[in-house]
Amino acid sequence: MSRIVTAKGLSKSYGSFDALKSVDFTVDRGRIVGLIGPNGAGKTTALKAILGLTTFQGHLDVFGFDPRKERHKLMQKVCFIADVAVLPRWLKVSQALDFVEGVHPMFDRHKAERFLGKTKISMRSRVGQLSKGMVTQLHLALVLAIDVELLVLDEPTLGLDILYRKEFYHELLSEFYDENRSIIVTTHQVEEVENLLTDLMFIKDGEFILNSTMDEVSERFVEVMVSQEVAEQAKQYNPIAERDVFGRKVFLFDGIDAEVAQNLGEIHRPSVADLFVAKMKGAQA
Amino acid sequence: MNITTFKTLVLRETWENKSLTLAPLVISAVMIFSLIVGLISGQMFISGEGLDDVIKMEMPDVEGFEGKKIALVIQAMMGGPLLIGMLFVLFFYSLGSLYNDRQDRSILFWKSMPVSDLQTVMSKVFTAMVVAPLITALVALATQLLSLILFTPVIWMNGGSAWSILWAESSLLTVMFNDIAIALMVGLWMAPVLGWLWFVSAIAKRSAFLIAVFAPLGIMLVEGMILRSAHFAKLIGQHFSQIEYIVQGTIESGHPFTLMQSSGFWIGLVVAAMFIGLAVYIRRFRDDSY
Repeated sequence: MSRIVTAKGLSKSYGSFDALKSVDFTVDRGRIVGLIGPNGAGKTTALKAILGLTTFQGHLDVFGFDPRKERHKLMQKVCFIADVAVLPRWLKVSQALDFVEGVHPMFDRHKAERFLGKTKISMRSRVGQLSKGMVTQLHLALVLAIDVELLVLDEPTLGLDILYRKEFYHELLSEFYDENRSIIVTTHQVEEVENLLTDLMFIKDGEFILNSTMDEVSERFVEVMVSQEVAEQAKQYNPIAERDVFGRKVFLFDGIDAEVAQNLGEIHRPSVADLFVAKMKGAQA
Repeated sequence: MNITTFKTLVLRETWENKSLTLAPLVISAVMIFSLIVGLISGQMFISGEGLDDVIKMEMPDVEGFEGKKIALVIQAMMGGPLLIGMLFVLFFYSLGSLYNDRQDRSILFWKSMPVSDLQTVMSKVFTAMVVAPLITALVALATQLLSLILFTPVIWMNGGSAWSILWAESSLLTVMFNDIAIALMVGLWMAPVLGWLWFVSAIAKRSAFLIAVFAPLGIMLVEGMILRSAHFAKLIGQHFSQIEYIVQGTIESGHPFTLMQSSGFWIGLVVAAMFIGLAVYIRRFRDDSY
């Protein structure tokens, strides 16, 4: 498994505000990394650094390129969708295809036309005439037809209705992803991506507070539902979060012994959303 | 620089900026329409009189007034408004070219493609300095041809020989050459202004137009108040007055390249290059584009 992104001591400040505080992380080929954090935590700054859209301090290597210096070469291997609906309103669908075909050596026009054939988008339409969902479909059709090795998605489904959101991730998995390609995705809608991810990174105030594979996460974090009587006993194992469900307590443990957990009550795999909330609160305390 | 990429980038500019082709066509249509109206009412005025008499009556002091002049006058009349139109189109084109895509955030799409910011900016410079003048020149030439064609039956009706009065002396090749040369030279003459507009276009967060217009006015005002002088205004005025070289050169020497004899022209190009360089740098490294 090869490294495609290596960051060491990556920092970025805007005036006195530190958006990234000397973080280290890596992304390997074939991984789908979820970068999750509240607004202003540094997600977008990290993505911008990887894409060469911002200056930064520290070391960052993406496919052997320094994104600050060799951005346009890097973009042959990396593509990104930043938010939805950034295609300009005046652009015709046919022109969008012509443009990407003209500037991107890895673009497969037939593939893009095949995607578009499955939608109601007409070649003659302008982006301004399409619904937000259709613009996303068009953008996805363009990007998925480019044979890049890393796809970066920043809140790709923001503002879309549920049908398009589901379809978006479905297409992404079935048409783009394979063991040679990687995806980095940030989103607020954690539930939608948690089954896709192979790696999870939580970021808060410019620092990574969790950075591990999903396998490690499910080994390390356990949710146990216990009756009120054993709640006090469970608290001795230092749960990182607790909540009430139908008169019972649910505790989230970080690194509890499996046998101990089983003796306390029912074991569940915590959802990424619950884990996220717990970690964010924990980091605050 | 990859040719296919660059061609695509320039095409993109023409897709977005329809006015590059639309404006000269509209101006041309208006001129042709006015010409037709003028010819019809002129024909009513001429009525019984012979055309030669009318011409001599209008311009009595021109001895042996030949058709060559008629053709050139027609050509100049048809070319002038198109060039003025081009200046306006280029002004708004340049001012919007690095600004509009930041306003609608489509810069994020353009930047997701393997195109360097130098290529992007150069495609806009090329569009303004080469493509727009060529389009203007082509439309000018077509308009001039069409107006000669429109004059032809009028001359016939008045018993003149359209061939000897108009066509034999119209020197179409020279006109074609001059249409292209003048349009290109006007573009180069405007280069420092365009450079300034690109710079503003790249740096302005909002109200690019106000900054582009009022920043120079502000400099003049401050200079006037503090130093009690007007060097900056004079500098700009001097540059604009160089358009004379183009007009005079074309009339006296038959080509507009006399502008190149002016040092101000070359200084203007250096200033333009400086602004364009800054625009590329800002486009590349400014953070709030995302």
